[in-house]
Amino acid sequence: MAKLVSIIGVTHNPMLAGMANAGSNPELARVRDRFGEFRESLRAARPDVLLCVGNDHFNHLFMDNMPAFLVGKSPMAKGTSAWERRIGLPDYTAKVDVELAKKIIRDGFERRTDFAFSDEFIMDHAFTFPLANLRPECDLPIIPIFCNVMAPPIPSTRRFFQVGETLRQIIEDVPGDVRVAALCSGHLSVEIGGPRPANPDREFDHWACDLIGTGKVQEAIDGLTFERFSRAGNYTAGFLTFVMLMGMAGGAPAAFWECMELEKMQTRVPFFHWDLG
Amino acid sequence: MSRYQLNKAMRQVGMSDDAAPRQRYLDDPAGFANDFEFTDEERDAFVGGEIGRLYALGVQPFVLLFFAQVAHRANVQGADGLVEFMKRYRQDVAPYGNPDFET
Repeated sequence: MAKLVSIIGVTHNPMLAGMANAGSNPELARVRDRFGEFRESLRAARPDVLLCVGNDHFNHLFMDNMPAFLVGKSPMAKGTSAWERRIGLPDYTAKVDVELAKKIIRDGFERRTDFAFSDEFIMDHAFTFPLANLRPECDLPIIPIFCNVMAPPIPSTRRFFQVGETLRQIIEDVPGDVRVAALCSGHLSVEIGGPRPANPDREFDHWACDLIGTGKVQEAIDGLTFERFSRAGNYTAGFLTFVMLMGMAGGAPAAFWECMELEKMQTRVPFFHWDLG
Repeated sequence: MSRYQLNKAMRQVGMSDDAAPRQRYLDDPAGFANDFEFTDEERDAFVGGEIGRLYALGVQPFVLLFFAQVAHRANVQGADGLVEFMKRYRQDVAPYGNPDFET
């Protein structure tokens, strides 16, 4: 049967897009180096396919038809959008494993998860940022899973955890020796278009990363409410994709996790890795 | 309230890859507004590019940030222009805290 061999969660903070040319910025260099280590971990896991979890920033999905969870199943996945490219965010193109994408949709129906699907979509930096930095070869088929974390009503923390569990069960039901790695991006506390600083809540960031990294499932479900997210920053529900990873991991502690503090840049950077080899 | 209509109109102006909606709003904001179902208050705020009022009405802050760059005719290509824009933007929205933006 197929195996989920590695689960990785990273940021897609556009402030970090210049890390490849960190130059004399030691904080960006630390982020770049950690991404380099994660890139090697992913390579060592020898995945055949990447299950990519992220969100859309109103480039593709909007409130005229807003799915809670959507599987991209066109033969090719491309990104990013024109305006994101103009501000230096990376492009990425990959084949989609359409058969596995369809299996996720079909099996989801039998497992109480009704995924929406799309045959025409673009990926924005929530997908292209982690992919370009962790698998720059663009050589593996992917399955993008889009999650609504920006337009309330947003699914609960419990639901994100459950959908993660469901994805793991579906993958482990795939015949053959397929090695699947899950790759996700999300956000810590973040304020966009509001009055507070861009990454306003240091205490939330460290607390929330600890919940995921150490596998405190019930505490996460009880504590990571929409109200708590909103207090930490108006789009902090972007953290929920990491909860989905915790669901995929069955609530097990991560092999490595970090809430990297960048004092000069006044932000924190999350890293999560479950090695299921 | 028609927050959705406001979000839809602002997204067309601020986030389209196509420059045409942006230019049409700048040339004739009242004409642009005719395509949407606004209340009188929403229409006034949209046509006037009044960022604080729109924010207080509960639009998506993410979308508003892009709309404001057009409405203020901001040049955000350079660092100085971006800092100046953000300073003014934050002043506009600060009095209203963090309103609910659920549609």
